[in-house]
Amino acid sequence: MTIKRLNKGFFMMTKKGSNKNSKNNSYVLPSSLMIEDASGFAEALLNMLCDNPNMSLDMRELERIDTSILQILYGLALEAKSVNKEVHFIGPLKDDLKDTLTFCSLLRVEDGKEILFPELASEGVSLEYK
Amino acid sequence: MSTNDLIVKAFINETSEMLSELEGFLLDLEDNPEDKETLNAVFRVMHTVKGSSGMAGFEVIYKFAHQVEETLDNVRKGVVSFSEAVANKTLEARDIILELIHNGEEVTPDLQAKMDAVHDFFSNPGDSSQSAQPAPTQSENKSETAPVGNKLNRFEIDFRPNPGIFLSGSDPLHLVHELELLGSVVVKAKMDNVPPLNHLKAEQNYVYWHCILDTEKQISAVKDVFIFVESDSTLEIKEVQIDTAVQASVSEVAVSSQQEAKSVEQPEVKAAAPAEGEVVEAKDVAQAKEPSDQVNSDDKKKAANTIGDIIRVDADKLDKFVDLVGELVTIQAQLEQTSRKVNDLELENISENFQRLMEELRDSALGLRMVPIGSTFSKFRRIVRDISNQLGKKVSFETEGGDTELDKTVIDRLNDSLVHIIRNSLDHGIEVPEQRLASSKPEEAKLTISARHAGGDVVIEIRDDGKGISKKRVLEKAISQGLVSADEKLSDDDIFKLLFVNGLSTAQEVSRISGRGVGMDVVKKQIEDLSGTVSIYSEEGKYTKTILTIPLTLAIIDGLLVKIDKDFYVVPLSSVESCLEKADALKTVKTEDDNKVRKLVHYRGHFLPYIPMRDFLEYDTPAPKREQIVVIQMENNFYGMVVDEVIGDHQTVIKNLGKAFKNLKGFSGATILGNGQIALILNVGLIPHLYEKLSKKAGNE
Repeated sequence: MTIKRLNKGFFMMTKKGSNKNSKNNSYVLPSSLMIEDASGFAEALLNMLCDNPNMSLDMRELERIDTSILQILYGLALEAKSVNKEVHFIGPLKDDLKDTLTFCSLLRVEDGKEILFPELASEGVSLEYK
Repeated sequence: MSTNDLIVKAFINETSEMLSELEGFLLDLEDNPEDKETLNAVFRVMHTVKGSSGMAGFEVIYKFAHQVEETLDNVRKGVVSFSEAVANKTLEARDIILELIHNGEEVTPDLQAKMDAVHDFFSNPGDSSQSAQPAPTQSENKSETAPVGNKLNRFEIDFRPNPGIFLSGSDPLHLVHELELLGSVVVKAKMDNVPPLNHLKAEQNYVYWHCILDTEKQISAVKDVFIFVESDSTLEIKEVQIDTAVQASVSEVAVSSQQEAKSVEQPEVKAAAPAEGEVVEAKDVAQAKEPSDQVNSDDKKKAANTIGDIIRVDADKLDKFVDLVGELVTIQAQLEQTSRKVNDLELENISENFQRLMEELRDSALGLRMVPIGSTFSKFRRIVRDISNQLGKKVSFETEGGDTELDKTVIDRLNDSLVHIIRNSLDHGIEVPEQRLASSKPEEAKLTISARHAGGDVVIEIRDDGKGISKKRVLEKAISQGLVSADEKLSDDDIFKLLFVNGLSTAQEVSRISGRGVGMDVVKKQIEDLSGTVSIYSEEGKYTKTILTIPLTLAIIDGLLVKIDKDFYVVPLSSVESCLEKADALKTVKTEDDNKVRKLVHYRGHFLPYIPMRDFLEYDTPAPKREQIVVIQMENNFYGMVVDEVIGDHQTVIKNLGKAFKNLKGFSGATILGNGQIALILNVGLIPHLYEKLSKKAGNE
C-alpha cells in the first residue's frame, strides 16, 4: 500500500487486497509529510473517507509532520466523527512522531495504552498496534 | 513552484539579506563592543537564521547556527566578552552559512575543515577566564530540567498564529519546539478551531498553543523565539510567580511527558486552563501581581508596520514591468507622431495627456528598481577590514551618500569594479603605519567611498590618503612598453589615463591582492559598458581618487534625437550641454600647442574640438548646407558633435544591440522610434577616442 505523489498537491492512494467497500481498508503513510503535501493529502484522505465506512491509516513509517499535517489528521478524525465513520490510526509510532504528538499533548498514555487525540478517542477514533 | 520551493527560495533570499546585515552589525560591534543594541541585533540575526533554516529543512545550517547563537547569547548575557576572536569567528561562521545556503548544504572537505575550526572555537570561545559557565549545548538544554532551588521564571504563553502563517514559511510547531531549548515546557496544542476535513483548508492554520515554560532565562529570551512571527500572530506572554512545589511539579511533568508518563495529564489541564476556566493557581497570582506583557508592544508594532509597508518583489517581475513600460513609451511615441500627422486637435490633446501620464509612469517604474548604493558600500567594510589586517595596515573606512539610489542592475554590475579599486587602494595606495608615521601622516589611513547625484548620473568617488601615484613611474613604464614615445608631452590627465591600458601596472611586486596590471583596463571596460566614465586623480605622497560617473538607469533615458543623412541617432541628454548652429559656432584659431591653424567650436569663451559625425560614421553623401553642433560634456571636458539636424528630446527605451553587434564600438544600444525606425544610441564617452584612432589611421594611410 503506498501513497504516491503524482504532481503538485495530488496523491494517488492505492490499497492492497481490498475494494472500495471492503472493511478495514489500510493506507500507509510515507515517512515524512509536510505542508507542501498538505493540499493533496487532505483531499485524498477525504475521498477515502467518503468511499469507505471506516478506514485505517498506517502511521508506522511516518516520522516527520508539521502543524499543517497535524491539523489534517485531527480534521480527519473530526470528519469521521461528524459522518459517523471510524478512523483507526495504526502504530506503533516512530519515536520522533511520538515525541511530537506527546509534546503537543495530543498523545498520552492511559492504563498502559497510547491514546491519540484523547478528546476524540471514544468516538470512533483509535490508535491500534499491529 | 511547490510550496516547499517557495519556502526555500524565501529562506535563501531573506537569509542572504540578513547575513549581509550581520556582517555590518559585527563590524559596528568591533568599533563599539559595548553597544548592547547592536549585540542584540547580531544575536537576533543568528537566532532567525537558525530558526528559519530549521523550518526550511536546512539541517546542517540549523545545527551550525545553533552553536554560534549559543555563544552570542552568552556574549549578550556577559558570560563571554565580545573579543576580536569572537568577531572573526562569527564572521567566518557567517561566510560558511552563506556558502552552505548557496551550495545546497554540500559540505565539501574544505568547508568541513572550516566548520570544524569554527565549531572548535565556539565550543570554547577562548574566554574561559571570563566565562562564568560554559555555553550549554542544544542536547544539554533539551534534557535540562529546571533545577529546583535556582531562580526560575515561569511564563504562560498564549501563541495564536494567524491563518496565513504557513505562507510565510513559518511552522508554529517548530517555534513552540524552540521553547524546549529554554527550559522545561508543557505544551498544549489547541485544536478546537480545526474544522472537519470537509471544511478544512489545508494551507491555512487553525491550531493555537498554550505553553507553560519554566526557565532561568528572562522574558526577552522567550520573546526572541517568536520575534519574527509577531506580525503573523497574536502572542501573549505572562510572567507568573511560582512556589517551589509547583516548580518541581512542572519540571517533573516536562520530563515525564516525554517519557509518556500518566502524570502528563495534570499539567496539561493546567496549561490549557486559561481557555477552559480551570485556572492554574500560578495564573491567578500572576494576574494579581504582574502586569500582562504583550510582545506586540507599541514600538514593535510600529516596527512591524514599517516592515509591513514593504513588499518584496522578485527582480524578474520588476524587469518585466519596466520592459512593458518601455514598450508603452514606444507606442506613445507612435501615437504622438500619428496625432501630428492627422492634424486632429482632439487626438493631439489625448496624445499629450497620454504622454504626461506616460512620463510619470516611466519615472515610477524606474523608481521601483532604484536601490540605495549603501548596501553595496557596507559589503566593502568587510573587504577593507580583512585586507588591511592581512597587509598589516591601519585603515579607517568611511562611506558617504549611501542613500544615493541607483538602478539595481547598475549596482550589481558596479560591484567588481569597486572591489578592484578598493583593493588597489589598500594594496598600493595606503602605506603601512611605519611609512605613514615617517611621512608625518596619521598612523591610520583613511579610505572613503562616496556617492552623489549629478544630473542624470551618479558620481562615485573612492579616495585614499595614501602615497598617491608616481607619474614619473607611470610614464617610464609606458615608455618602456612602447605605449608613448619618450619625447611625447603628456598632461597629468593623459598620464593617469595610461593606467587604464591593458598590462600596465606600476606595482613593484605582484601581490595576491592586486598588481597584475589586468585590473584597471577591465574596470574601464566595465564602466564604459554601463555607459559611464572613470578617471583617476592623484598627488604623489598625498592622495589618490578614482571617480566613476554612471548613468542612473540602463532601461529608459532622456535622449536628444539627432539626424545624420536619413538616419536617426540618440545622444543621452545628461551629456548634452548645448546645441549650436555650426556656421555661427566654428571659428578659425591658431592653437598654442603646435602653432597650427585649426577650426574649433567657440563656446562660452572656450574653444572646443569637434567631431564631424558624418566622417566618423563614414557617410558618403554630401552634408546639408546648415549643420548643427551638439556640445557634449564628459566630466570636465567638452567637445562638439557635428550632426545634420537636431530633432529634439526623446524618451529612449534602451534595447541591447545583440550578440551580432557586440564588436560595434561607439554605440551603447538602440531604440525604436515612433515610426518604427531604429535609432542607435551614441556612446559619447567613447566616440572621441575612436575618432582619434580613426584619424591617426587615416593620417597614416
